[in-house]
Amino acid sequence: MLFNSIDFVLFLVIVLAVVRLGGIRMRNWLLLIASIVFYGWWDWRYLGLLGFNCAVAYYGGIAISNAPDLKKKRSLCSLCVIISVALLAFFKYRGFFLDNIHTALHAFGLGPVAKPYEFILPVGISFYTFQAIAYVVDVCRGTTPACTNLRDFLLFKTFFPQLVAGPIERANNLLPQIQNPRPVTNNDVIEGLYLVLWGFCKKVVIADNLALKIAPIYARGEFNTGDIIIAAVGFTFQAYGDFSGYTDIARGVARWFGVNLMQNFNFPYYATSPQDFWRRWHISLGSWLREYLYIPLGGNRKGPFRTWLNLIITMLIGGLWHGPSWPYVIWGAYQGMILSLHRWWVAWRGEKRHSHTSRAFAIAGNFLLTIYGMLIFRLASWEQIVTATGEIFHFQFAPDFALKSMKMLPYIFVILIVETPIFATHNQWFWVRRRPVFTAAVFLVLFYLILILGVTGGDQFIYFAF
Amino acid sequence: METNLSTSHSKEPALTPIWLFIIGVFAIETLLRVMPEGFMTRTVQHRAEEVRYLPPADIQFMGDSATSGVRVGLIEPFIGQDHQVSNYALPGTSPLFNYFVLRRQIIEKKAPKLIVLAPHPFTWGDPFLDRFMARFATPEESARFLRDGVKPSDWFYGTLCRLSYTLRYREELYKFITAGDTLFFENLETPVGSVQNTRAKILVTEKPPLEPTRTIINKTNVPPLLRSPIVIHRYNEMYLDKFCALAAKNNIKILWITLPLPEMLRRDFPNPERTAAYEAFVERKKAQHSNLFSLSANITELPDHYYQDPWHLNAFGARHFSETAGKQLGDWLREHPIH
Repeated sequence: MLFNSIDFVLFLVIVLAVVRLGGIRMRNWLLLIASIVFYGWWDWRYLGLLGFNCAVAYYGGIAISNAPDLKKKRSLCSLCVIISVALLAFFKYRGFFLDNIHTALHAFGLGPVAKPYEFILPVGISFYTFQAIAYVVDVCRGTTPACTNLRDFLLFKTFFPQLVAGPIERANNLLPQIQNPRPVTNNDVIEGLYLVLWGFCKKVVIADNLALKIAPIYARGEFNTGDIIIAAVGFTFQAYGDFSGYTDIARGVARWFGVNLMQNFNFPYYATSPQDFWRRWHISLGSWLREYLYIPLGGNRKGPFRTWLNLIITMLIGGLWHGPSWPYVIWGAYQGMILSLHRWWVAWRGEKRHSHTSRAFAIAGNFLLTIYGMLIFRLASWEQIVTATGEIFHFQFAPDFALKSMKMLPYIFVILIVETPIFATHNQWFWVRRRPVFTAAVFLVLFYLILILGVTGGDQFIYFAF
Repeated sequence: METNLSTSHSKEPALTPIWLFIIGVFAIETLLRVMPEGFMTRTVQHRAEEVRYLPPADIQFMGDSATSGVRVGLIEPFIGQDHQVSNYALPGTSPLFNYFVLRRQIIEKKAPKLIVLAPHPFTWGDPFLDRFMARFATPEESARFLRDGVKPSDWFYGTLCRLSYTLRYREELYKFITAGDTLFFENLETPVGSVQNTRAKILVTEKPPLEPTRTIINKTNVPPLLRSPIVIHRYNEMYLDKFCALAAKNNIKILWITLPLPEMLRRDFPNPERTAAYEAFVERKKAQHSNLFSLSANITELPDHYYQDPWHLNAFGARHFSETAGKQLGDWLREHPIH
């Protein structure tokens, strides 16, 4: 069930009404049932896989908590992590690995590997697997107590607004809110509506309209410099609108149930460095990679070379997390590389406070790096990446380049108009905490933008594929 | 200063913005009700009324805007004087409309003896359900529609389109805002298209035909739908089945004619699989319904200069197609008399 579908709107209206009628005492049961229906709506057969993943984390968490010593805790934690990763690898990466083994063997003139049976990718598997790993590791580290209430734990894992595309919620944020439900306030209703409307606007108005403009360029696979600029800039804002739109809808819907999900985006295109970007873009994934991969690998504690290696490994896995495809791996390597280069730059230059001018240059420079990263992310193959990169420097522009660019600008301006004041004032409720008439007018504008300019039958959310 | 991550503040506000927002939506939609309805809506509604008072024709063409190119005045000479032909094509419609039009005609005892079904092959992928509910269906038909097995969410969206002017014309408003297409507003004053008009003996002179060597369509103005393989939407198949069954119950034969496509589609977008699903679908339905016949299951082509756009025949093409179809229909009627 996609957020941008009538099915979801009806589902949400019914769940809100039922939860409201059921009261706070019944909330968790009702939300759990709703979450199971939500996931089963997509493909009920994968409910078993989700259930197994939950069982591993739940019973694993209790076992780790009850283990007598650290060694035993770590063994149990490793077992849970291995099971979770194995399931993820089997359902998501099996075909990719076997295909590559086949290609490698073929290159050496050896026999083919049997073609694997193709599974439908269980939606949200990357998200709920990472959530499960974070939970058992936190229990093992002692930063989160093991949850002993199965209903609450299942709701923590399956809470439908965040189930299929994040944010990758940590137990210490979401579990206490599930275990101690609070009443829904007027603020929740108003701010939730703002998040939902702005989220939909970013998805169906901005991302889907930009997608219509750039999809033919990517489909054609032949580029000139102008095409690459349009395709890369267009996808940079499409990806942001799509994924941050999803997150905002998820956060808004959660607010209507009295739950605060973590903020997953914090103006990433205003980042001043690659490191800053990863603190602002997909924050829940960036922090997950840092806490559960980069730091356990040694982080920056083992010298410059290991730091570089750890960054590359972390971001390669981060790239692969997005999907079983080489462009994602290359994108991960690119991210690892620019993070390492930035680290060396800072070490050489020393930490300095930005002046207004240097900040502007840093934002612009980092934005260019981001755009190129997005181009890699979106292209279909290594060959296309090489071709497109080469074409950038040929400086060939089709006669309609300016016209095509102009057609994208209104959508980009909508993002800038709405989000720049929020960024400048550090107040994410800039458009909401105003006079009621002003807030209502904002809601009306967003609502009618969605109604008229929203692309119907548009793409599913990009991050559903991850 | 407040951080970006903060989610609540000390003073609990009233829900005034929410109420103002809801009142605002109602006010805007109420104000929009004074706007005139679009050309397609008025045409569909007018034709739905014509069912009640127009004398029945023996042979009735049905389909969408592409079928409107069939000139009945050019067809009648080929099939003999004892047959009346009408063209009940409704722009922007699907088999849902065909079924409910026929149902209304049967109730009014104005049903034809033969229906020539000729919708555009590429419109089978969309049932135009929102248009059907917003522009055509009565409340009774809407309720029946839900009972027929249509998804409640689709029905709900259709009902919203009926209630909201903005939703009903969102396609047109979208084109106006994003591409500057003002056709919708220009057509607000256009008189409705009547079935009676299509019964005029000759209309080819309305628009002078283009020179046969000139074409105004090319691969840059072909919409994505025409470049993709034809798909058959579940609702379209469901209502085609109901349409055939209803016709069979009332001894009405259905003759399927496949409208030709511009040659440029095959030439510039070669994909042999594009029409496979459609051709198989026609054959399957013929095997399923004993009252369903076809003159041409396979896709045929006409030169590009017969088209005013990639979807629709121009006056020149309409004349050519009507005469070709008239000859075929005349031959078919001699083998399958309907009296």
